[in-house]
Amino acid sequence: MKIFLINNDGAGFADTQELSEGTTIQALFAKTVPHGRPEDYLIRLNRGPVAADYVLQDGDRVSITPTKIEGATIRC
Amino acid sequence: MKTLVNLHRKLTPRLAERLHSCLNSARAPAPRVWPVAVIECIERLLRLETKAHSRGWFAAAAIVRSQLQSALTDLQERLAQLRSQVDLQPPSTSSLRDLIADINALQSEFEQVEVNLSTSTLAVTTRPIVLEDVFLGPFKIALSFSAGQSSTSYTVTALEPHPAASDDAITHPHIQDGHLCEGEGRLPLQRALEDGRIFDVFQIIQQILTTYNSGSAYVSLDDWHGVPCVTCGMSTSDDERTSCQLTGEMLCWECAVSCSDCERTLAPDRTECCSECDDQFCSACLDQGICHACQDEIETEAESVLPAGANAPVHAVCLEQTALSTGPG
Repeated sequence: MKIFLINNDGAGFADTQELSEGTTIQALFAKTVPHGRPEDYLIRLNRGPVAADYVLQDGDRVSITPTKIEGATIRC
Repeated sequence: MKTLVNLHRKLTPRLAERLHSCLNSARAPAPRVWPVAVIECIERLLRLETKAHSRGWFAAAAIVRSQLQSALTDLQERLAQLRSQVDLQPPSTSSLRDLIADINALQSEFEQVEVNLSTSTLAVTTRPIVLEDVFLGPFKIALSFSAGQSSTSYTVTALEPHPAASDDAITHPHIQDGHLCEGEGRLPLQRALEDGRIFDVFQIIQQILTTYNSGSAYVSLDDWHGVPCVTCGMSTSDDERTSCQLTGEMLCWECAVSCSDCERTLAPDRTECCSECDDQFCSACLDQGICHACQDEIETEAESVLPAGANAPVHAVCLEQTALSTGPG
């Protein structure tokens, strides 16, 4: 099945991903952000909150955004 | 609220259409250039080469062949460049349906969403932001775009400003004069804007606003309300203050005093005036209320006033006294 994955961590990217049937949100997160903790991210399914054990469906849209994104001053 | 929701339902598709048009304009490919001049040059050189051979002008043919090789190399490079331009697919932009879904989803993510067709603006209001117990208030994030134009831009405005004590223009540690310094958020925000992922744009900006980077703030939150001068009580920022080198207390530059001898920076109440010269000194540089320089001067003057021989032993006869016999009597 294919989903649309948006990863707003780091440089950010958005692309379709081929996943095996039965993949959960939790599993997708672990694969996408292997060193991250889910509680440090806003994980949205089709633009809304989602449970970690939700089983992804074909055509779903998942976004992963860090809760902490540091702004700066002179570096801008 | 129902009226507002209905209004949004009417306005959102129209705004989404304008935004979609704007995003598509940004993705128009650069003009493709067919290398006509190079091809015409090659055709001419081919004719020349054939003519030179047919007339037995072998030296001329060699020159033309060399020019032909250069022209063919040039053509190869231009065609490769054109091929890479055509092959490069622009990043996919959000569909109209995606844009409408993004705008509708903002309503559950933010306190307030405003759709303004007359200004082609989509704006959201955040919840009041508090960073490390410093209340900054809610902020309005407004995304502006114009139909037919290829750029979108956003502004972040404090709705109930609680600026830094030292600078009214700093309403957030990472906002100065209404400009948000995106820091780590710059690249994902840029990608989200290019892709037309409007929901992500607002969400990323919100996360920047709710994160404090103490290492790179216009004004640190520790100094947000300013540090009062221990003498006059005036609120001071980092570059407006120093500290008393005796007590460590914060002082504004107006109140800070320097010891005229050791030059340490002191609070005014930690200094005393020399009774001779009236300059200000720390207690360590005064001796019985007199500074070292004045003491030296006093001693020097005292030495110069005493007459010659003043220290010689006094003879009894000089004082008109009878000398006493010193022998046995």
